[in-house]
Amino acid sequence: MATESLAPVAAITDLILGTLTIILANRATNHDPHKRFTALLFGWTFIFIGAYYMIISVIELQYPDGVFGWSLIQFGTYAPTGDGTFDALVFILYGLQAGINILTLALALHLPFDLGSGRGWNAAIIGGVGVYAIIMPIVVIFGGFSITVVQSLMIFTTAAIWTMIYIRGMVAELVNGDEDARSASKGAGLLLIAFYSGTMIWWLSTVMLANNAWFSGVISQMSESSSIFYLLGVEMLWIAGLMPLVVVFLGEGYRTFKKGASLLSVVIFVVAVIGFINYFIDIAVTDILVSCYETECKELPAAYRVWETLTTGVLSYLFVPLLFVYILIQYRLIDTSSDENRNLLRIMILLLLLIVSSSFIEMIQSLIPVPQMVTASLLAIAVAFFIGWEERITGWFVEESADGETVFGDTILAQSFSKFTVLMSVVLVYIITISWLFAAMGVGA
Amino acid sequence: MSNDEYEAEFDFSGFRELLNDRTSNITMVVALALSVVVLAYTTVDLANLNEEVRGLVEGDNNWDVSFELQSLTFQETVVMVDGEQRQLDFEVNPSDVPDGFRVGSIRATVSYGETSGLPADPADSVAANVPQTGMQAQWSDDNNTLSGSSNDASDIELLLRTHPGFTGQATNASGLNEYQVLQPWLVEGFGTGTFSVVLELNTQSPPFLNDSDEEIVVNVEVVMFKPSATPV
Repeated sequence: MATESLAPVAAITDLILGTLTIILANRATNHDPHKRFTALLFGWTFIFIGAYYMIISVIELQYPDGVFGWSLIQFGTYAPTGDGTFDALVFILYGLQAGINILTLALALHLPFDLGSGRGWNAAIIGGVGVYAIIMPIVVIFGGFSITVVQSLMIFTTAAIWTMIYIRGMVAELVNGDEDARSASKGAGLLLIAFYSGTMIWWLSTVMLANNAWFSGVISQMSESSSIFYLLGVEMLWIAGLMPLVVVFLGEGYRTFKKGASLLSVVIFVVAVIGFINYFIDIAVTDILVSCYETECKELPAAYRVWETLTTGVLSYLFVPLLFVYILIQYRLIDTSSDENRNLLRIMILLLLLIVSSSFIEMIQSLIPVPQMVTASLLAIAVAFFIGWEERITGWFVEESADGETVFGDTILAQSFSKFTVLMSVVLVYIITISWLFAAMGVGA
Repeated sequence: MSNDEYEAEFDFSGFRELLNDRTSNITMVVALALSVVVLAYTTVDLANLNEEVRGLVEGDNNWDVSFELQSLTFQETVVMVDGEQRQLDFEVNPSDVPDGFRVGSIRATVSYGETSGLPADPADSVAANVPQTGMQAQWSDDNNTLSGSSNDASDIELLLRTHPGFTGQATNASGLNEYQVLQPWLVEGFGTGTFSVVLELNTQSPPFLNDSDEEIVVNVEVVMFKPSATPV
């Protein structure tokens, strides 16, 4: 059973959201500068993630017979093929991955708490993002792709910052009785899910070593033996998902017991249950995962692909953009008070909901042979619902809450916004340029 | 926020505020400590797996493949008249092949003598060939002998290799493990089905006498093998 890839949908959604967010952040000159800068970071994170998914879509389209897995980029297991275009696309992915990692860390230092401030600090953040996004792709391309796992340390640090903010918020709310502190824990929890759900859903497999069984199959395909530091980097990436999952799960479990369920608690419970099921799926396909060196390489069953699409795919590609927009609006990172911005916001929300719902329906159709007339009717119902309830849906996104008040920080010079936008545009062009250049030169082959 | 703070180059009061609660700090330290424990044992496990897998991948992967042989035989005796052409079919059923065995080759020996009893009667002429049937086999293999003839009553030996690469002799192979090494020798389906031998008789008679028929015996041996691999 073939399943439709959701990568193109995520690419379009994220690129549109990124562009709108950057426009809104640059336009809102009277808005809180800290929130504007955080929105700008969000916007560029959208653009980088969208570009990443766009390259994945191009690879899937142009090289349908090629084997292209997540581990190639995340764990640096790629071996250049000598096909210049394919290599260039993969090099771009490494560059974009580095950009996403540093932008995420910068975001963690700004939202939901502004952890640092001052002129030097802001300059250091902007400069640090630029320098990292320029140097890291070169280091990865020339230093051997496996070196990319050093970024696991940064990924873990980012997760640790948000986890600490989550704990701090939960303790303040549940132990010290500070109701406003919920904004911090909710924000940190949602950001953790938005950025780490991809590894969180393998939490039990991490603890029970099933991830290692899977990775041993990857190791058998590598041309050289891996160092202990490399293996440590691989494990750190899994722990970066495991630690926040356990903390947020326990925290939300306790809070739900005390105060009832919330959006965050429902989402984290769903993620935890998916992770629980994933472990047993891992057990069921262990023989296939290790087949490359124990027997001979075998294909994973179609049912596994369907489950992966319905969980990892839907979560990463469809749900995460929704979560991003929710955070963006709930924490008032973009100014929704003016009519002009509110219209743009409506477009953003409706576009997002329509893309996500139509893609979901298409995906269901590719899994279950539902007649097109039925899915077309379902889509029409969804469109009618969104139009009819547009005001209420937008209202739900922008409903007044204390969350927006809790995000504050220092003043950032007005020219920093345009500088950052120019810097990130240059970084994007730079990543694409060096990737094509070095792939054409046969670097790494 | 005061003007002094605006002027500051670096102000980490946010970090200090984050870390100024004892309960939160203890909780975070416990979370980090547990993470380190999980990180340690998962890394050790992965390092062991890495060593094991690399040992397999990079190790000396040469193997000796030897074969335990068994055979299945058929015999058919026919009496043919001069000029006659006759096809004999031998059915090799999958159920005839023991567990773990595959059909490696099929040999056919066509034998006859001069049985007329006439004085000075020369040996008859017999031609035999193995036509291609629906049986999965190496029909184009260079080592096959799919046709032959005799006019001196000597045996005609025919050979059809059924399993790819099978000669009956032990061989060398390379692979990560026994399974991979034996995989080429465990392909099913070869050598089962109908094996046919077509015979044609031309009698030779002494002057003024008539030798019009001959008895021909066809022995078919189905050679079956069970492979085993041992590391060199």
